[in-house]
Amino acid sequence: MAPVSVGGWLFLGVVGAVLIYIASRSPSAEELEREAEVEKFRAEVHRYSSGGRRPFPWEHVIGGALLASFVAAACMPLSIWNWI
Amino acid sequence: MHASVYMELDLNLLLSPDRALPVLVGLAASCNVAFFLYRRPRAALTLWLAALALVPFWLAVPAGRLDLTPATVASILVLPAAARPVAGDRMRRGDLVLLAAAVATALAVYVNHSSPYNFTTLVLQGCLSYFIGRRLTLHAGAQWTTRAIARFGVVCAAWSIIEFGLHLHVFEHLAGAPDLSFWNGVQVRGGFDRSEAAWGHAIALGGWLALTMPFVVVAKLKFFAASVIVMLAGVVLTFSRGPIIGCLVALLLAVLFLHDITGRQRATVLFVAMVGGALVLPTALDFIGATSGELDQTANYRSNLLTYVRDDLHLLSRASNASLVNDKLLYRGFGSIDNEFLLRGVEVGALVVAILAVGLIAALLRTLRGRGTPADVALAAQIIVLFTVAMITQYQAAVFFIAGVAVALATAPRAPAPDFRHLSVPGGEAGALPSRPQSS
Repeated sequence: MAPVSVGGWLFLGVVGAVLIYIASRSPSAEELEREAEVEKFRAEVHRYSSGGRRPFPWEHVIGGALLASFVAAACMPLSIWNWI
Repeated sequence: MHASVYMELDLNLLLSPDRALPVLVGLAASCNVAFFLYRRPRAALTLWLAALALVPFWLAVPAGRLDLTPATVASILVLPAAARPVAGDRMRRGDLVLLAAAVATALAVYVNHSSPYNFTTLVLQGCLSYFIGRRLTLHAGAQWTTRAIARFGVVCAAWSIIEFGLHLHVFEHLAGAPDLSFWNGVQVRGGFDRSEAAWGHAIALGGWLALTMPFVVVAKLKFFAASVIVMLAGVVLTFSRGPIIGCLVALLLAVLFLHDITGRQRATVLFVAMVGGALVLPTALDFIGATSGELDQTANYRSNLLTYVRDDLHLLSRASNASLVNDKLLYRGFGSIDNEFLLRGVEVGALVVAILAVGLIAALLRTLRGRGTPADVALAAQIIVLFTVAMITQYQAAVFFIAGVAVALATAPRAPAPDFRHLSVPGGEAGALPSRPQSS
């Protein structure tokens, strides 16, 4: 007789119960629309208060250099393909 | 996987007398659930993510000759919720990329005689999942969706650790659709069980963890460092090199190129990566050395594929020397192709691959220019994973879902400001700011 996965069905039962609990507490679409309006308002305020200034993205420069060196180190000997 | 999915929906089989009652009861229950979820987008998205990440692929629902995977069934249930109109939403370039890929696949199938399952799976797993991610993200809210995806990633990673630690595979003998239940086996590498959670294959679980890593980084979860450590440990225990590298690259890209994380979080990740690397890498390298025999076979097989495929690929049809034997693709004697780009190219032609690659490259460019969202980073890092794995089990649905989320997040408002009540603006009081909607 083939083994039966009782644990698997039990696990799925627990998942189902948790989903029902989450669904029962889930906000309605109308509440979310009001929440989205508030978020939009906050974003407006943020844009207004920051005056459109953005700091120099130094992390992108360093990140780009790191990434380029990573890719170069991996690809130069063309060994990455075989290793993967 | 492909062999079981056909274009023809046999209604006689679906509505045979012995099946009519369960089918009708199932349809009635499904309509009720869909109606309930229609006005609850967060519940809908939670259900969909649970069906994707926590339910085994082989528990597919038979519908005539089709086997509907759990994510596809969930997609159908939440489709009305996702289809609710969103103010200001319109067709985006990402949508056009997928539309073009679907049209090209349809041409390859219906004009140039590629196998129909290519179009069926693209629609049922790809397009549906994309649409769910694309629309439910807008309905449920960008931040909430980011957190939800991150939580499902952490849960799967923790599950991976528990599987490895306790040798507990709850779905190991779980029977499902007869032609898909072979996925319930557990793979072994170097004498160790590979964790696979509900994904049916360690690579699919690893791919999902790599996809969710950027979301974990920016989600502002309560236990940030612990979550990152759990994610890294979870992906390592799949013993899949492609997803491990993909996860590390996703982490690196997220830390360097995403705006929504603090300097402290960047430092934490750097620290975790350095300490984790020092502790884990020596053991991992020893292990990889010990299993080099298994890995060499995989690498040689991929090298062989590459040498052939250049001559065999066509623009918009199945490749030369590829055929279907018992509904299973055979290409020059290879029964499986562990490279999504090659596999899709062999099945439907290079044009579809090129179209889909445009979407991935766009995500990479957005990331490198500092305009990316976690979903863009996830897709950019997936490029590496997709070179080493085909979209098996529900991994395909996961990738297309994240693509939909990427397009939605790109259009959603960015992270909100700090507490606006303390801001000083012309007019003096917060009351002079744009009118705030009442939330009660």
